[in-house]
Amino acid sequence: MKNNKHIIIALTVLTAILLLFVIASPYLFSASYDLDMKNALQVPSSSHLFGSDNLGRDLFGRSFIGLRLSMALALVIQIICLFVGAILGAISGYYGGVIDKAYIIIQDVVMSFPSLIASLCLIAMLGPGIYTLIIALSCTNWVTYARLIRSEVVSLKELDYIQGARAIGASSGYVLFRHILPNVLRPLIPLFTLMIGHTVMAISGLGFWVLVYSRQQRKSV
Amino acid sequence: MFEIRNLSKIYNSGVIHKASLKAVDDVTFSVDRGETVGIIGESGCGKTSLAKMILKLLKSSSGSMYLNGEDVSSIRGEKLKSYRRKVQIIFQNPESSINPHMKIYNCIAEVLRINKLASRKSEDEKALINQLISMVGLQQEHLNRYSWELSGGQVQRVALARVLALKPELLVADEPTSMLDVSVQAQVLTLLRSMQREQGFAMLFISHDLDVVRIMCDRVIVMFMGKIVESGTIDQVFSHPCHTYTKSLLEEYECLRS
Amino acid sequence: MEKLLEIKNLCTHFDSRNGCVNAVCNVNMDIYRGQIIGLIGETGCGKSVLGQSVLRLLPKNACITGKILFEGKDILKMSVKELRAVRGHKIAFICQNPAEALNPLMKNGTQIMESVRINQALSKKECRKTSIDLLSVLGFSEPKAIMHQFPNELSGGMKQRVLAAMGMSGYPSLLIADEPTKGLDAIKRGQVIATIRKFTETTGCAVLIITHDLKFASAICDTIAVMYAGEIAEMGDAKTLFNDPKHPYLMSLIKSQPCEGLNVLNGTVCSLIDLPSNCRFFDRCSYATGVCQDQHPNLLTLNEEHRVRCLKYV
Repeated sequence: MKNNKHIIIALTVLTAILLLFVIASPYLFSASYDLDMKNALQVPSSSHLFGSDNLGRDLFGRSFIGLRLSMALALVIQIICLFVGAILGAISGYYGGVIDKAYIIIQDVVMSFPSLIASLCLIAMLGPGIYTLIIALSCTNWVTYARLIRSEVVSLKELDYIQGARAIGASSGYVLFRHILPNVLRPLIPLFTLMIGHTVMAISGLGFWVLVYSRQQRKSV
Repeated sequence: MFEIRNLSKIYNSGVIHKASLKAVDDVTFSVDRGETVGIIGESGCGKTSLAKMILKLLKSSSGSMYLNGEDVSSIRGEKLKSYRRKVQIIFQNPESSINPHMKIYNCIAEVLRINKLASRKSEDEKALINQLISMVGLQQEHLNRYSWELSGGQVQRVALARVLALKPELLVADEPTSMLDVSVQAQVLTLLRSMQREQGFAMLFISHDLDVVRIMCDRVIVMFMGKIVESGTIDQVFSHPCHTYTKSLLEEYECLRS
Repeated sequence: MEKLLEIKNLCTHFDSRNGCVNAVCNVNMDIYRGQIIGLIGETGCGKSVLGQSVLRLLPKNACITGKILFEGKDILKMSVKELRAVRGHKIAFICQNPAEALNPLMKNGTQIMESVRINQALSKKECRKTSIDLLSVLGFSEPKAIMHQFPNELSGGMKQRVLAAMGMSGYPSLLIADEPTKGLDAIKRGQVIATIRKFTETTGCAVLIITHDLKFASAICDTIAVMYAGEIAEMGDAKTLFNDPKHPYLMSLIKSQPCEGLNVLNGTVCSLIDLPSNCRFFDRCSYATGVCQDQHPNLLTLNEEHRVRCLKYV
């Protein structure tokens, strides 16, 4: 418990710094919009930490400004995935039987496609745009959560206190939300943070293929 | 009062090499009001599967169950809920029988809330919980703790308090003291006995400890490989065992006694 | 008889957030070659900690003082290298849960042969032969078949014996078994007793059994030490101890067994963090007098074989 407190403090401080930086970046790095042809294509230095691009703009500042949108999008996508994954994984793990078998087939189908290519196809079908991006990445990423949650639920539901809760007459929904899901959260939190980074990479990858942003937004990437 | 007829549970496994395991095989017995029936047998003989089927936590493969003459083999919904109020269970392992993320107060309150015996956070609820907790010999200070802050015997008392809140007609005790020390076992068993005397519920006492069965039960059923191989009153079975398994069980037991 | 292990004034305490936990206080004990000695007591009385102290298997926040002389050498002062030579080779440890102590992905034979090879420099063929011999000594009728099976194909009692075979592979002179009968029924308990007996008879090894099962202890042990709140409360020959218990704790423990009438011993063990300066059993003792409230009893020697920590017998 003592160690937990340290971790929580460290995490809050870190997140606060990151958030501040990301939110304040357009103001902090307003100079990185300016063209400066004299200093184009510089190597990293003290004035340009990541160097500069072919129009002389500071890449460090531009990365942060670009990260702003990507981070926000990644958060939204991961929250959607978490909800969808938690509900589907918990239901299939808890009820088992036919529902579980059907779910496994869906899961295998989704997982058998490389997620980036699957999202690319979806975006190509639906047309580029931020909402399409959210839909496309959510459709491919929820499986990660669902898989973890399902396996946790399967092992948890045999525990005595879960069986005991059922025995005192608790409904399935009650058992799932009151007893099972709080116990599943523990391994989910690290996965969630990892997946945000993963999604930021996916968004920039898709952004590279000009499938995501309109012209105005693309400028910032 | 409670009766089981030809109950079986078969686990199927494998897709290509199909194998089926008969965990419980054609079990028939009955329990009368206020009576304690012991079930003994080695680990893996289907005792726990049987308990779970009685609680309707596990679907039976075939056979039927009757409570007060009513067929309860395939009840659902409200009927199932009222059945579960009448039939309750205490588990073996104190480490896992209470949710570690919930305070003891909430653990007991949960039972009352789900069965609508008291409204949430009312004075009624508090009074009822205090009454239950003192009945099983715990203090109010325990209510604000978590299960892992209590000893094994105390957790079993909490489990008993949860069960007693529903005033069950049949209590299934699945090796309730096999993880406890001798002196704590004595405390829990005497508590169980006095509660039974007070509330008059019938008890199905599952154990592998012959000493405990001998002192707690009126009748005993011996299970071996999913089947009932012998049943009768304590005296009958302990003094005149018929089946070879019972004989060897008693032989080892007598050997340890002397 | 030759002294094998000599425990002198052993104290083990743990530094925890709530204070210092005195798990074992001032324990003196001798184990002779070929002797089966039992350590009985309830959860948290320090019996497992004592067993683990002997092999220095405790976590880092544990502090062990005193002396543990094994064949004349102090285990507590040994270097890591010397300690490793003792663990497994000369002192074997069988842990509580046989189900989890075997690797489920390795065949029983491979696991036994592995421990044989670590302990003795033998060729693979000889290893195999030794392993099969060990299994047949332990009462397996078809040791070759067992070698080819995986642990999940065995019952709890059989796993226990496979573990015992691994423990025996180094022909140790001391075997420490922590709760070998936990969760076993009467028949399997009988098997464990037979196994351990056979083991001592064939190898002349001493066994330290840590258990809370009074009946099992009385059936198998030559000498028994009863622990209460980190101290030895009573110690002596198994038969005298159970037929004529002297310490009020042991008396009530025996009486609280189901076969002895299930007489409840009220109260709980005192906290190991702030230990009382008087008798540790004072609160629960039905024989307590005024003297008991003020004085901490020492271990009294009643006769050569029987020692008790109670002021009643001063």
